[in-house]
Amino acid sequence: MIVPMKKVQIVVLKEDHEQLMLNLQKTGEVMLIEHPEISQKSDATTEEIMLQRTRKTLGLLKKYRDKPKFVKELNKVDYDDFVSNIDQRIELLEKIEETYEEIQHLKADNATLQETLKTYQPWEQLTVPFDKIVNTKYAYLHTGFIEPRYCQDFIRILDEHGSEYELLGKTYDGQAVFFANYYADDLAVIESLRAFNFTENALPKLPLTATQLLSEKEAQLQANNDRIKELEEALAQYAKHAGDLEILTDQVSSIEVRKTAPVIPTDATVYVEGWVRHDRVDKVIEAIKETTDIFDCEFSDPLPDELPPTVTQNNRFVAPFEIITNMFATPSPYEVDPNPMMTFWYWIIFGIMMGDAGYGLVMLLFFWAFIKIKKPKGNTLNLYKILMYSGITTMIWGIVFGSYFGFEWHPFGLKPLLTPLNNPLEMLVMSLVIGGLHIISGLLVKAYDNFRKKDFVAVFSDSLSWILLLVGIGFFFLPQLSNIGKYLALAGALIIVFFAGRKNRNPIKRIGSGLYSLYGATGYMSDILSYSRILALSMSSGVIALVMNLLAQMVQGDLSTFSFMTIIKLLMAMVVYFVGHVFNLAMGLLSAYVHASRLQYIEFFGKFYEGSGYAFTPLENKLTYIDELNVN
Amino acid sequence: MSTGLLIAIIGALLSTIVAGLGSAIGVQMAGKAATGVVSERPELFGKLLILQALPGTQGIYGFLVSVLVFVELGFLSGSPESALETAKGWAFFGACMPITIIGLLSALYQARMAVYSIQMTAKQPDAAAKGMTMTVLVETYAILALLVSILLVTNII
Repeated sequence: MIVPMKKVQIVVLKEDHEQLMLNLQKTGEVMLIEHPEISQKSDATTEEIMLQRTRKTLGLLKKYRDKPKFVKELNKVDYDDFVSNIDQRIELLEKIEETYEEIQHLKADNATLQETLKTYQPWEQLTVPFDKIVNTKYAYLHTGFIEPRYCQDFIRILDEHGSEYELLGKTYDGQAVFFANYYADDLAVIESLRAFNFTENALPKLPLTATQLLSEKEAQLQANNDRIKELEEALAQYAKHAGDLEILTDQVSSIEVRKTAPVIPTDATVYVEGWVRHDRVDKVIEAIKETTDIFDCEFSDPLPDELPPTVTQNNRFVAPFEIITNMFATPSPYEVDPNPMMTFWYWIIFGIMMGDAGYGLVMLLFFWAFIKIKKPKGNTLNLYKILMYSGITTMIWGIVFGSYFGFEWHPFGLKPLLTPLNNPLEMLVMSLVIGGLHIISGLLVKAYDNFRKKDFVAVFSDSLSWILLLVGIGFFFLPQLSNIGKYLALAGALIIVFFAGRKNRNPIKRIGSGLYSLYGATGYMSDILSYSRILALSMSSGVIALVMNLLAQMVQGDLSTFSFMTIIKLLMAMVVYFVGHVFNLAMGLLSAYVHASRLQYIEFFGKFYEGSGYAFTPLENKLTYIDELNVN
Repeated sequence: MSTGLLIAIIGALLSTIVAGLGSAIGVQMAGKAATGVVSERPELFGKLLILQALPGTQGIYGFLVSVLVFVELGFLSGSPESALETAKGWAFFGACMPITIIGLLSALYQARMAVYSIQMTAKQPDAAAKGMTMTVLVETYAILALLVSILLVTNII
């Protein structure tokens, strides 16, 4: 059912604006209307930045947090806590950020230290402080690197000139060398060494030996690492309060929503306009009265040129299936809610496509348990509910097909009415008949819609005519009824020819346009043939289940003689059964979900559905992490 | 083993091999497009996975026809029709061709549609269902081919 909407117009004093928004957000019943020219929104940059920070920090804390419990506990927060305690949570956020920044800083520092260590390691054997390495009057001192393969040449050259040298540590830069030349030979030595890729490497003038320097840096590195460890422990402690950051995220995003809600300000007042369900008007009045005594509030029906948002209200069974319709298009508020009819067919067709009693039972139990244990919400919850409910039809059709995990079984003498694998033709006919009924039900919805709008000619010419034609053609294939079928089809066709073009005054044009409409019958034929996919999908899941069983039986081998090997074979067969059926079930669910949706969208909705509405998105708290707000 | 049986077996093998090839390439094409999107927007993984899997069905259809041929030829019950006439062998071969050829081509074309739908979903996550529906439309012809193959295979003997 599509719920009628009321337009609400509220005027309050400027000082009550924020409180009003807060209260409206608390009820979550009003969808504000934005007037592009005059509506104003407050600036929410602070909130956006804050959200980025909380998300980043939550990401950082992830590795320190305990794994989520197997059975999810609902995250319940008191409403008063939610709206008032923000500052202390921001404080926590800042503390965590500081800790993390310090760690980052220390890590960067460590990287530099590591570099320094690497630089000085080759000079460790130099026992003199660096600042003592200075040229004397007769001896010029050099430090540098030479490629290890030229070591022999290096020694030769220095020996030739009678220089003193020392070979120090090796690094990826090459062999570190220290040597002293007689001042007169210096240029010549350097010149000849250059041919062997000698690179001079001046050491910093520090009053320390390499060893001292290294131990100093190492101590620093150690201190840094100790500090990092300490800070990481602190982070692990903070991670226990990550729940507060999650609440903060929800708090701030709710503030953001509230701030960016469109309102129209005047000098002294604020004007708020929105849509509300007709049966929730009281709640809105209550929320306003809670805010202030000085207000003006009016409710009115939507004007003919206004398009209110669409709210559909259905029973517990149909409600989850609304997501299937909404994924295609939100219904227009002025048409018949397609959901109850769509749900019924989706449910049935999904069941035939899966068509296995074992799989149906697994779907029912698995998704039931999943919903109980993991407590998903929103669209995920609805999807799981759809799959759970479809488990029921899957079981029923599985019994009809006599298929239990791909095995043919007849418990309690239940004979399968139809096995797709053995009677593909009958199965095809059944698929097409279901298609025909599905399409006729679509036409009936359209008839009902036109009936509601008191357009009786349309009921007669656009819906009943096609139903007559379809039923007539269907009867044609039954020998006993083929005569009646002929007349029904003819009647339907005549109605279409004479009435489909009724908008044309000119009788010739009218008939022409009617004939053209009759040509649309080819579209109906292709629509009905499209239901043959029901056969294809139910067969493909059936055959794969069969093959998996065959494979498992091959592994299992002969069970008549018992030995140790039998147990191993049996275990291996179990693995094949399990993996095979899980795979087939998953693929089958995917196909059935997609193809059952497609049959609704194209074949069924094509007959009547407008879907020109938009969803009702009220001003409400945006809860990502919190499951429930306890309002006292 | 008769020539007829051999020809029938080759037909059955082709439907799994060729249609499977089409699906493998198709799923790979869609997967490549999806990885690019997931690297930027990991939250779309679920939706994109469905789109990626769509061109995978043709391979299953090809496999389905192969198994049906094996069932008809009695391989699975352990008593193969070793004296199958050559003409019937060709009939099996021909019956496998619709899903073999259309399976290959429709998987490839469906993969292209899946790639476009994935790109659309990247820009507009809410449009995922529409992308899925449009991509599934391509599969209609694979399903028709599958039906023709099934109806023929199950009625030759």
